This record gives sequence, structure tokens and C-alpha cells, in this order.
Amino acid sequence: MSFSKKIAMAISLSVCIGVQAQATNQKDVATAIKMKVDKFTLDNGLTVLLHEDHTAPFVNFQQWFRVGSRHEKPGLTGLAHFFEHLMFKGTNKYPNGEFDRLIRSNGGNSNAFTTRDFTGYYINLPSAKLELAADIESDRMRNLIFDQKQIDSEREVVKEERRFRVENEVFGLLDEKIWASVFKVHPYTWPVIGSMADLNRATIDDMKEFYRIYYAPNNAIIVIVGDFDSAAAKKLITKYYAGIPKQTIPEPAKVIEPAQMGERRAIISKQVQNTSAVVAFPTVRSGDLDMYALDLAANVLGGGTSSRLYRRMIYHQQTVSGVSVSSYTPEEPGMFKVSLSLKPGQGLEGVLATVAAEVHKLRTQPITDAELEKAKNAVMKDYVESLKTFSGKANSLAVHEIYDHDYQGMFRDLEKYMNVTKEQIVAAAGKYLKPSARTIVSVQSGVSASKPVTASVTPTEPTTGSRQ
Amino acid sequence: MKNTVLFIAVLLSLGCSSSPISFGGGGEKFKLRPYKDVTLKNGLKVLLIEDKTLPYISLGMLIKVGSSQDPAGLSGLNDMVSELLDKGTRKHSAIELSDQMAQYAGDFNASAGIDATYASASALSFNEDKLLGHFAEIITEASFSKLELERLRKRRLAQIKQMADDPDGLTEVAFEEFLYGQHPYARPVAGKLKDVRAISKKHIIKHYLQYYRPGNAQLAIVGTYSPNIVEKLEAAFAKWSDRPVTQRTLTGYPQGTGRNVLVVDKGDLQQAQIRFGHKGIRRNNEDFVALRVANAILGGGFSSRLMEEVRVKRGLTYNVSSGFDARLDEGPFVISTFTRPDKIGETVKEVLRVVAEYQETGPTELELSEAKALLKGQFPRTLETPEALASNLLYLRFYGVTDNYLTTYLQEVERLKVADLKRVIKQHFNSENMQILIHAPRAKTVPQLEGVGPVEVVSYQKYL
Repeated sequence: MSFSKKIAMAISLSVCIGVQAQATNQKDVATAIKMKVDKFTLDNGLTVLLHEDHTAPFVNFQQWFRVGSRHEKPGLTGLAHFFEHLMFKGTNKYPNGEFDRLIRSNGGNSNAFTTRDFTGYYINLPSAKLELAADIESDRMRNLIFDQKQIDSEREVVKEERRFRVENEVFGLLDEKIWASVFKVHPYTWPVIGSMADLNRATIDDMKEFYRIYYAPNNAIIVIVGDFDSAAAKKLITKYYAGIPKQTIPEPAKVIEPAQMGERRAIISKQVQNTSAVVAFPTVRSGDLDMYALDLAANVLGGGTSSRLYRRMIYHQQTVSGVSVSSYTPEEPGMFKVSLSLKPGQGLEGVLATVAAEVHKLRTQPITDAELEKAKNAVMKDYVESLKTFSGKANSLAVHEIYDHDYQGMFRDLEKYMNVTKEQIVAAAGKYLKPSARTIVSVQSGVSASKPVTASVTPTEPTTGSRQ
Repeated sequence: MKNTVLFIAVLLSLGCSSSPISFGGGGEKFKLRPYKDVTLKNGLKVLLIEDKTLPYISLGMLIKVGSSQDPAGLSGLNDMVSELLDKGTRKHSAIELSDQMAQYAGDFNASAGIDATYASASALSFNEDKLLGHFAEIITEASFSKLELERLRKRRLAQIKQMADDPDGLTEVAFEEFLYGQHPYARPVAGKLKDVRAISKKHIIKHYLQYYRPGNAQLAIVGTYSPNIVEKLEAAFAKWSDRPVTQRTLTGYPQGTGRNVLVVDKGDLQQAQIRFGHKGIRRNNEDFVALRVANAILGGGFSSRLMEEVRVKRGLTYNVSSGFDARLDEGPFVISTFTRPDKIGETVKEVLRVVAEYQETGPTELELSEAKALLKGQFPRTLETPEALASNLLYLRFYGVTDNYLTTYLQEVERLKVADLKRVIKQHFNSENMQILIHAPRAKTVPQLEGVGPVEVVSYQKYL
């Protein structure tokens, strides 16, 4: 009795010291990542964020629109991403892919990506060429031209992208299936890249309509990070964008996914060397208070070689060759998922039982102080890592502005992570990671699936379908 | 003790080269970050790049050994050695190390390449001492326990089998073997099943003791670090002793003639992976920059000839790109793309046509000036982070290219004329000698290849 008490005292003592030391470091990091941002809005509703950083002689110009695959209609899935490709085709001022050539001949590069919630375009250019970025981006925000021949040719490119990311890629198939299984009603159910049938169906009029509705200044944000002068940039933005009229953006119907009442399973049957699987649970949106606890829970379960699942399944049982855990919280409620690559010859049920046991443990038993500190340290380090480049900074600002109309969320997040308690992590796991809310999808050989499964779609993680 | 400190001070003053170099003209205001070099007592060369903008420290070590030094029949050996480094040392078990480092979010990663191996580690700055200690321990005191070797072997065997379901990965491995035959570059970094089964603890330890030596490595320290970092490094690496390492002999690219096609058959593929390749160059080739520019016009990004013809005009693919994979020995020139199975023939013929046309006409003045702008603009972005500068410097030095490459690059690009490009294109591009690999269902593929060249068909299982 007295022995265990001593141990308890020793532990609590070291915990105090640990927490204190961490508080100081945390403050240092919080101070270090704080950056000066200039935010303003034009009369037409365009939101602009500027951050000067003169450590390298170029600028990263990002133009994001609040439109993604969830704004599409059934029967026209993949339209947002397909349309993103068309944005590089041309305007009257810069026809026939002149954008790309112009950016190239000015020493820049450019690309774009589409997610379920938003579409982002970016251009990197030498410092002196900032005006070119504003010129091109403002031009294609209102003056895009549509050419049937180009659309048909690009349709084949997008279908090739789909084959590359989905049909020919085990985890692409799994990703498509997990979204389709966790979400039955919400537009998150369909893949960002769209189905082959819908890609074939999309017409030039669908494209024009999509452009007219969503590509408006009041539905966009611009973020510039890099070697430029803010006052000059403001003048440029005003010069190029102030004349673009705002549009009425339709409010998408608020679709709430009904609560899941029992476990769901889906199997994709395909000749493979080994079984792969994803176990997922519906969770919360970005910025929800439980998001912070769920991110830390994901770290405890699957962050690195000392995490619970890695240690048990890869190291001790040696039943899987890969495991990863992520909590994905987009603009509307997302999912917590465990992805597993089983070793050849391993049966799925045993592996699933281990995952279930570890999830159960996380929901019912306290995590240790060391685990909590480890997870928080990992978050803090990831934060610093993500801010090493201009594009990393710009992405972070843009995501927070898109989701919460408030980029400063990125500076508050760190503190919110640091304030999460052990009890909150267990409580969040208890609330969301319930067996009755679980969905399991797998790709396996020689299983007679209930229905013939052909590859259906989506790129691997949150983002999807970039143009390159 | 006092001696040590003095010795370091002397080395510092002798070995430091601080180089803030700026470029004038053309609106370019690129400036290389300052860096310093020191050599530790045991011969380990250390590059220091200070960056106080964020509170992190990162370490990178290039060890001059790659999979091309795996003995015949033991492919995968170098990769296993690097993977086992942090799986236990004389002081700590694999579990202890993993727990201790994770506690302060210290990352360690070792990546085995064809010519060299790169080990890196990073943490927030206030964990500098812990990170240095762990990094030095992992590099110099790895214990290679039998248990961990068996654990890794099983995982590797599983991963190699799984490659069958990764068309892109399998194609990369198959293509190296197709191009290089008996040359060591033919050996896959991760090894073949039968070789990985044959690797013993003896092989592992012999390889480690032979190549993991201070004189055969270079270290870079980047970020916010202590003023006495060199002193700390001396202490951390004090017991790591040097020993001469036999240098490899370079035999050159195995010459082949004519065009050959290899179909790597897998019946259920929905998309064909396609590669084209022939002899390329060593990294220290004096035409390296000219070839980069020449290649950018052919297949470097959007607006390149291949991208325009194959993707934009014909919708045959989502991506097509080309490049010289310049290595210690002669690396390959490679074009990569993919397409739907019924368009294989058209895609192959179109790529060959574009290359042949480029060989014949060379670049236009406009293409050259665009490509120059592209490469000059890319340059500062490539070196945006100090870690990128560090790894660039370590690799350049490893390949026998002086640091000058970075300070003269912009002028070298600018200086190029159409005639220079024509010369290097004539010498280094050859559509007639192209070796072509197609990973796709054979039945759909072979009939489309009429007139391309002799076709051989093998099963994908050959490459596991």
C-alpha cells in the first residue's frame, strides 16, 4: 500500500515538472509562430490576407473559392474538380493555355487542387512579378472562355487522373468506398473526382453555370505570402479586382447526416496480394471543441512508432505492414479513421478485433500523462514544420479563413490543443468511436461481394484531384 | 579537455567559409544563405546553417553508401541496415528509443537511395541535447539485434509482395532492371524476395562497419542551435572512429543498341504505366545544366512539348514528364507516363515522335528563353528552406560538384544559346535507342506495338 503511494507521489511530482517545463516551451513556440497578417475586404466581398516574408525572393499567390465537391448535384459529381482543370484553358486576353506559358516564361509555376469544401489555385513567381499573378487570377475569375473541343479533351485527362488515383490504386478504392459508406445522405458521400459516368455526362452548359454561380469575388479569398510590399500589393489587388461584380451565392441546403445506428461493412473484391482495410467513425467539423481532443486521440492511437496501434500490430503481433490513424475534420462533420495494410495471408477479423480492443481501451481507460504530453509535443512540432515555407504559411491562413472566416484561428489552435485534458480525450473517444457508429471497408481477394464492385473513386486524403 | 576545446577553435577558424553571395541583374535578387563548414576530430565534416526564424533544429547526414553497393545476391542489404539503425543500440532497445524520442517529438528517418543514404532527425530547439544524443547513438552505436532483423525481414518481404498491387512502384523497379541488366543499378533498393531472405546478421554488421564511418559521411546542422554546437558534436561523436573505405568502381551504362520493348504483364490493370529510357549522364557531367534546360523544353512541366502534345492536345494522359536522373555513375534519361490500355500504341508512338522531332529541330529561341526563365525562377524556390540548401550541398559534394554550382547556376543558365542545346541534344537524346517498358495486360498491349521494336513479354512476378 505504502509502496504504491510512493510511486504515485513520484509520478505526480515529475508530472508537475514536466507540465511546467512544457508551458514555457509552449509559450515560446506560440510566440514564434505568430505572424503579422494584413486582412482587408474589397466592396465586392473579396477577402485578402497579406503576410510579408523576405527570406526568399519570390511570392506565393493563392486564390481559393468556397466551392468543392459538396456543392455539386448528384448526377454531376466531379464537376468542381473537372472545372478546376478548365480554369487553365484560357480567356480572351490569355487564350489557349497562355496562362501556363506566361507563368513559365516569367519563372513561375502554378497548379490547383479541389477538396470537398473548397478549390484552391496557386502561383509562385519571382518577387518582381506579383502583378502578373493578380492579372491572371482576376482575369480568369470573370473572363473564362469555354470551348467544346478543349472540354472533351480535358475530360479524357480527368478520367485518366481517376484511373491513376482510384481504379489502379488500392487505397484510392478504399477511400472512395469509406466516404460512400460513412455518408449516405450528405454530399460528402460522393468522390471529389466524380464517377466515370458523371464525368462523361458533364456538359459545357453545366460548366458555365457552375462558373457563373461560384467563381465570384465574394466567394473567394486571396492569400499572398512572400517577398512583396503590402501597400503596393493592396493597390494591385484593388486595381485588378475592384471592378469584378459580386454575385448572389446560393446557400447550399443544410444536409445533416442522420446518426448511424449500427455497424456498416463493405467489401471490394479484387485480386490483391494482401487485404487492406479502413475503419471509420463519423465525427465533427473543423473548429469544434472535440476536434482538438480527437486529433490528440489519433496521435495516441497511431502517431509514430511508439503509438498504441503501431506498437501492438506492427511491432508485437506483426500482423500488419502499415497502420495510420487520422482525424479529418473538414467544413462539415468529417471522420476519424484507422487505415490498415495487412500482411499477405493475414485474415481481416483478427486484425479488426485488435483495432476494436484498442479503441475500446481508449474510450474506457485513462491515457497516461506521458501519452498526453507526447501527443501535444507532436502537434506543436507539426505546427512549426508546417510554417517553414511560404506555401505552408499561406495554406494555413487560407484554410482557417475558409472554414471559420477568421485566419487568427491558426494562432489560437495551439493553445486549444495544449489545454486538452486526458479526460477530454477519453470522453471524445467515448462519444464518437462507438462500435455502433463504426464502418469497415476492405479490399480483399476471392470474396464474393454482395454486388459486383467496380472501382469507384477518390484521391487519398483530405485534398484531392490536383491538376498535376 | 582543454586541448579539445582549443582544437575545435582552430578548426573553426580554418574550416569556416561563410558565403553570402548575391546575384545582380535581371531583377534576380537571390542570395544564398550563409553557411559554415567545420571538421570534427574524427574526420566528420559538418555543415552549419543557422536559421532563427523558427524554434527547430534538424540534422541531416549523408552516408556515402547506396543500394548499388549491395553485393550481388544480397539486394536490400543497405536498405535494411539503414532501417535497423534506430531499432536498438548498445544503450537502448528499439522500444526504449522509440518511446524516448517520441516523448519530445524527435523524429528520426533514414532513407536508402541508389548512390547514398540520408539519415535525418529533427525536434524543437529546446530539445537540442536530447536530439543530438539520440542521433549520434543511433548512427554510431546501432546494435542490429537478431530479433529486430527478423522483424524487419518479415515486414520487408510483405512490402515487396505488396508491390504487385502498386503499378507505379513495380514499374520503377522493373525499369531499372530492364535498363541496367548486370550493372548494380539494376538492383532494387528494397531488394528482391530471395535476396532479402538470404541477408544475415553477419552481412548487416559487415556492411555497417565498412561504410558507416565519419570519413565516409557528412553531417548538416540546421535551425536554431546553441553557440557551442560544435563542442557538443565533438562530444556526441567522440567514439566514432574512422577507417578507410574502399571506393566503388564505376563501370558506366551498359550499352545496348536499337529500340526494345518489354511488356510487364498483369491482367487486371485498368491503366498502363509506360517508361522510356536510355543512357543518361553522371552528375558531375559538365553539360548537366545545359541538359536540364534542354529537358525542361521537352518534358519539364506544363507547356513542355510532351505535356502539350500528349496531355493537352490528345488527352492521352494526366501526366507525362522527362528527366535526366544524374547519378554517381551514368544514370538514365527517363520519360514517364500512363494511359488507358486501348491508347498504349498511340501514346508510345506520340512520345517517340515528339522526341525524334526535338532531336531534329532542337529548341526555338522562344522555348529557350522560356525554359531559362523557368529554371531561374525555380532556383530560389528549390532552396527556400535551409534544410533544402543543406541537402543540396551535401549531395553536390558527394557527387564531386563544387559549391560553386549554386553560386554560378543562374549565370550558367543565362549563358546558354540555342547552339549549345542543339549540341547536347544531339549527344544525349536518342529516340532510336529508347528502351520502352509497358506494365499492362499483355493481350491488349502487344497488338498495338507494331513497328515500335522487338517486344518481349514477362510476368510482373519476375520483379518481386
